[in-house]
Formats: sequence, structure tokens, C-alpha cells
Amino acid sequence: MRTASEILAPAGNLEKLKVAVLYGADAVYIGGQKYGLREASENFTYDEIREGVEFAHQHQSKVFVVLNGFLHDSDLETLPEFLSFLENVGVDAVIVSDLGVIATVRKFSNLEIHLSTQASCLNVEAAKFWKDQGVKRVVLGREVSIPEAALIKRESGLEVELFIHGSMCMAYSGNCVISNYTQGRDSNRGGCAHSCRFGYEIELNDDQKKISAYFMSSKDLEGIRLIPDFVEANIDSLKVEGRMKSAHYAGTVSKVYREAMDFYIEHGHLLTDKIYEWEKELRKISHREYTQASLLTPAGADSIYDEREHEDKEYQVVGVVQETVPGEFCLIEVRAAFCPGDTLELMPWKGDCVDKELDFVRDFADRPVPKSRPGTLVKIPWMQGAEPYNLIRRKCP
Amino acid sequence: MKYITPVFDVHQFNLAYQEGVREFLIAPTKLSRFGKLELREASDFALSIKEKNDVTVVLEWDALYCQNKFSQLINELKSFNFEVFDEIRVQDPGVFGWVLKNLNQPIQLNLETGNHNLEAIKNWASYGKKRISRLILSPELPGNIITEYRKNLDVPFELMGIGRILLFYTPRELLSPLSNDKREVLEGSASSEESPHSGFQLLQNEHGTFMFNPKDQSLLDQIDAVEMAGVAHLRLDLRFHDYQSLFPFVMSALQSGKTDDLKSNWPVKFFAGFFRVNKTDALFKKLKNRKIVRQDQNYLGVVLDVIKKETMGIKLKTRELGLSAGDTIEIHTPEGRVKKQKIDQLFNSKGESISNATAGQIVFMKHIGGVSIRSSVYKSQQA
Repeated sequence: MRTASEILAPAGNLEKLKVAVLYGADAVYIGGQKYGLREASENFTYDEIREGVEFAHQHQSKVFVVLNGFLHDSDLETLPEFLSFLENVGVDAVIVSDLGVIATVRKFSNLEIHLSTQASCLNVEAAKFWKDQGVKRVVLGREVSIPEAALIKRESGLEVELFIHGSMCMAYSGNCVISNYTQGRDSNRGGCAHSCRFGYEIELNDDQKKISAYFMSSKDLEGIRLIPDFVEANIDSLKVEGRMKSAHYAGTVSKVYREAMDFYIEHGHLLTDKIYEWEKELRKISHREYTQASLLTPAGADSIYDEREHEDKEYQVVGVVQETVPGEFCLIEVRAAFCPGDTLELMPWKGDCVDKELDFVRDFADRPVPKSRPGTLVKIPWMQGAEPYNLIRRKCP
Repeated sequence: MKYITPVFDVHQFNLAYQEGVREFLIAPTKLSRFGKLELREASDFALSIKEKNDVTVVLEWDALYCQNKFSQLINELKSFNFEVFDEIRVQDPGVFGWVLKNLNQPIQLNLETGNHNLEAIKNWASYGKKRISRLILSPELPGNIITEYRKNLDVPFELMGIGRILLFYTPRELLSPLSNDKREVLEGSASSEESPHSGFQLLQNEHGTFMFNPKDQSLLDQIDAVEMAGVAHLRLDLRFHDYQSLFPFVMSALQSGKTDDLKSNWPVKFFAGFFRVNKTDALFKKLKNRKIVRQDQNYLGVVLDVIKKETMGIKLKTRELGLSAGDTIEIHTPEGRVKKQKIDQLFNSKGESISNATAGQIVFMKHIGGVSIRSSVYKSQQA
């Protein structure tokens, strides 16, 4: 009997957590106001963590909290109090990359520890080392293939987690300090300036010509077609990168990977036209060109994204449902402008999207709105099945 | 202060030995990120160096390996003569674990990647028990912190005294797609208009691609402070430079305390890295608007929409705190203004008057002047 791998989605804030859970993520990972690698992200306050954990648990999902910065001594001083809070609210695990943080977690709590990919755990011996430190799960380096991950799991006895989707560091994670030396921002404590995405002029020593290239930028990972490989290799958890990304992203990846995983568990294959639909969905969210990177064989030249950073998405979310009054209207928070007469698409928790042409757009004082403005509340016609946190989107012009 | 230097041939060794250095790093291509010697060459070279009785020969094994490569490597190493090395320098925890189980030499543990707290360093050292002969500390640690670590650990410390600063290490080949040159080792430099710095040195070899800082690190003009911090060993890493011509300047600078000649002959500029201070978290507070980061106490929700001088909508988010007509609220705007107001009337989205609302609901009320979208709403403690 096959066991589904956990779908682990990113949640940069409470709204994204709810969206990811409702669209099917088995677990989400979040960050507090400190100790993680996304200092610019909104992140969670104590109350938001408490609420997020309660919400996720009510929906049979887990919450992992990242503490995966390479923390300095001063950072560790306040950590025990945070750990105590996390334990009290029932967080399911913490994700850690630094041995000092691991020791602190073990000293001050009984929280389950997952080793962050930031520690670049790449082989069986390394996994055994981390097991000796009290780690229960290793998030393996993105350079590790699925067969290698299976071996690491078998030989170490640890749970293993692999990335299945999202942006990738070009460097071995934790082995890039470009921002530290060039921008004065510690990349391993949340200050990464994404210097690997810059355009560079390169001079090779034995070549006279200068070459302009985005030579350090990686394509994004997409592993949907490899779900059978992940499951058959008994990979415990499949992680999606992207705490800084939108609710649209969190919702779409959760929904698509949930549906694909469930299909595989039920049928034992992905030989279905749905695979094209799922891939289409993954192209509707913001992404770079996709690659399978090192999931099967080491990433080659075709994994380099030699383009300037730009938004590459087919669809945009125009709103998030806040309230519904059945038969009358949906109150939505606008994320992108639309007008009466436009056709929008409701993304339900499961199944196909539902199109709706807008008979009206009104502000919350019930006055007609000729064109909605992002950041405002508007009423649109009620859509069958709509619920709070459903995403509403449309094709980009 | 004792010195250690990587050497790749007998000329470099002789020069360093004559200058008084007694510890040498030997870097085979398969084991070291920047190695240049075949395995057999490395062990033969080590053997020849050991003809001098007063030297310590250290094997550098700091490359990172995914499982398949690691398995292949371990197979190849069955015939490698580890015995000629006095100590083994490791970085990857997998290599560390393998060496602990399979070899007997003392281990020099390279902690240059991360490891910026005492607890981490203590735990690494304790895992190796008595086998750890040295800890190579991160160049991001300032001297005053190292001083504190010295008081709490009895394993000798090493820092890079002079050499290139590694910024980036990937297993992917990033330079070969740009060139028709099929050689295994490619070198070059890169500059970007988007970076305040230029002239990043690049290297691609069998371990992947590396980028280095345009300026090298040198602590040679503050040797006293380095010694005071409790650093016992200094690495003089000239592996990317002209060893024969520059090493005498390095030793002269160390002996005289004057670095002018060294600076004028060294091919790139120096700096002291983070030895004096590390403030790489100082800019974090500017990365987001702290005025809209929610404070937990008395937090009610967020202003979702405003029709100026008319109405505003608030999403209530805190389960324990409802909102009733007659309550006083405090609103913190993204610009940092604070507005306080007693609520006379509340409405739902259908425009019906309601007496109270709870978490998850959106409530509407009369707009308070100056309040904009994304403002945070708190329940006032004063009625």
C-alpha cells in the first residue's frame, strides 16, 4: 500500500497559511518575527502563530516554524522564551540549521527538530551526524536526487524531506555570503539581496571577449511529474519554496500538488490528461522557467535561467473572498483592478475553476464602481461555492 | 602565533619552510575545493615533506559531496595512503563522521561556514571528543566575540590571516556554458552594474563553481589583536596568487608589523573582513515597515478599505477581542500616526446596523480622518 508524501507549503503570513491549508497542504512552514531567513517577509506575531496553529490543526494540517538562520550569540539569548511559546501553542516542529540552535531547542523544549536545507545535508554520513544531534527529519540539499534521498532515509533512519517546487539557491544552501560582503546584509540571517539574479559581465581568463549573462541564476524547480518517484522512494515530505510569494502561489501549489498526490495514491500512476491541467495551473502563478534540477540527475547547463528577473505568470489574482451572502454578493478584497463585464475565475478548494461574468461591481456602500482599485473592498455577484479565502483570478491581458 | 600554509610543490614548501613555517596543508583535487594534486601526488608530496622531522602535514578535505559521489570517493580512497598525513582537515559533517570512524588522526574541524555562536562551536567540538585538534573559525566572527569563545573552549583556534574570501559555492558548472574551452578548470572574473563591487574572481573545477570577494582578507596589520583574541594559528593562504614572489612579503610583514610593501605588491586590495565588527543585521529594520507590524496586545484587526469622510471597513482578526458599539479603538496608520476614537455605530456588509462583531467578520463604521488602508486597529485600554 502506497503512502502519500506530505505536501508542505510556504506561508508568509496568516492569510497565506489559511489559503494553503484550505487548498490542501498537509503542513505549512512559517516564520516568526526573528530567527528565520526572510527578514523582509511579513512573518507571524505570537498571536498569529497561535491562531495559525489552531486553524491548521482544526483542518488536520501541521505547522512547522523556521528558526533556520545562522544565528549569532545575541540572537540565542531570547530564543528560549520563543521556544517555550511555540511548545505551548502546539507547533509541530521547528526547522533549524545551526548546531547551537539545535542544542538550545533541545535544552529548553521538547519540540521536534527538522534540519533545514540551509545546513546542506547531502549524504548518509552527514544525516547520521545530524541524527546524533537529535534531529528527526532532514530537509536535504537541493542537490540531492530522489534515489539518493531514499538511500539516506534507509541508512540513517531519519525522515527525509525534499523540495519539489519553487525558486532555488544556485549555491549549496548556506554556502553563499555575497550579500554579507557586498551589501552589508547577512544572507544567512534573512538579508539575502539575491545577487545571484543579477546580470554580470564575465571575462574568462583565456578568452578575450566579455560575455554578458545571468550566469548564476537558477531556473525554478517543478517536480510534479516525479510524484511517483517521490512516493515510491518513500520520501516523507515534499516542500514548496516561497514564503515571500503571494496567496495565489500558496493556494495554487497546495491545490495542484494535493490533487496530483491524491490521484497517484488512488490510481498508482499519473497517466492522465489532468497532468497537463496541473502543469497549466503551475504556469498561471509567478515563476521562472521550470527545471527538474537535480531530482534525477545532477543539474546541468539547462538549469541556468539566463534572463533578467521578470514576472512570468499567465494569471493574476484579482481578489480574495472575505464574506459571502448567498444569492446576493461576495465581498472581496481587491488585489488587481477589474471592471463590470469582466469574466473572473473562482478557484474552489477542489476541482475545476468556475467562471463568472460580473453583472456589477459595487463598493461596500453599494455604489457602482466602474473600475476596482487594489486594496479596496468591493461586492461582486455571488458565486456558487465561494467561501472566505477562496481566490478569484483572471487571465493576464 | 603559528602559521599554516597550503603548498602545491616542493618549491613552495622550501620557501615557506625557510621562512619558518612548520605546518602545511596538502590539497588533493578530489578532496579539496581548490585542490590541484592527484591523490597519489598528494601522498607522495606529503611523504617528501615529512623528510623534515619538524613539520606537520595536514590533509585538506573540505569539498561537499552528494551521496553518490561520496560513495564513489570512499571506494577510490581504499588505496589512498592516509597514514602519511599527521592531521585531517574536514568541513562536511559526512566527511567528519567518516573520518571519525575510519581514521585515527587528529581532526582539524573547519567551521568557516556559519557557526556564529558559542553553543554551536562547543557542540561541534564535543562531538569529536578528544580527536579535535583545532577549530577553524568563520571569518565573519569579530575579534571580541572570539575572545569570549577562547574563555569557554580549550581547543586551539585558527583564522585565515591572508587570502581570498569565498563568497559562493555551487556544484553546478556555471562557466563552461559560456565558453568553448573544454578544460576542467576555468577561471575568470565577473562584474555587475547591480552590485556596488566589481571584479569578483571566478573558478570552475570538478567540485563546481566558486565566486570570491574582489578584495582579499588580511589580518596581518593587526596581529596583536588577533593574538589577544586567543587565535593560535593563522592561515597564510596564497594558493590563488604567485606564491614565490609574495610569500616573502607576507613573512616580512608578520615579522616587522609593517604591511606597506605587502600591500603594494599584492595583486588586489585588502581589508580586514569582519574582524573588527560585524553589523550585517543592522539594515534589517529597514527591510519592512515596522509601523504596520502588528503588536499582539489589544490587536483587533486591520483596515481593509476606506471611503474618505464616509465609511471604513475593518477586518476583525483576534478571536478573544470582539468589537461593540461604544468601544474605543486606537488606529495606527502605516505613516506612524495614532488615532483614537469611540465607536458610535457598527454595520455589516449588507449595511445593517449591528451591536457587535467578532473575529473573522468585516465591520463598517464612520471613517476617522487620517486613517488609511492597512492601518492596524487596537482596542483602547481606556474607555
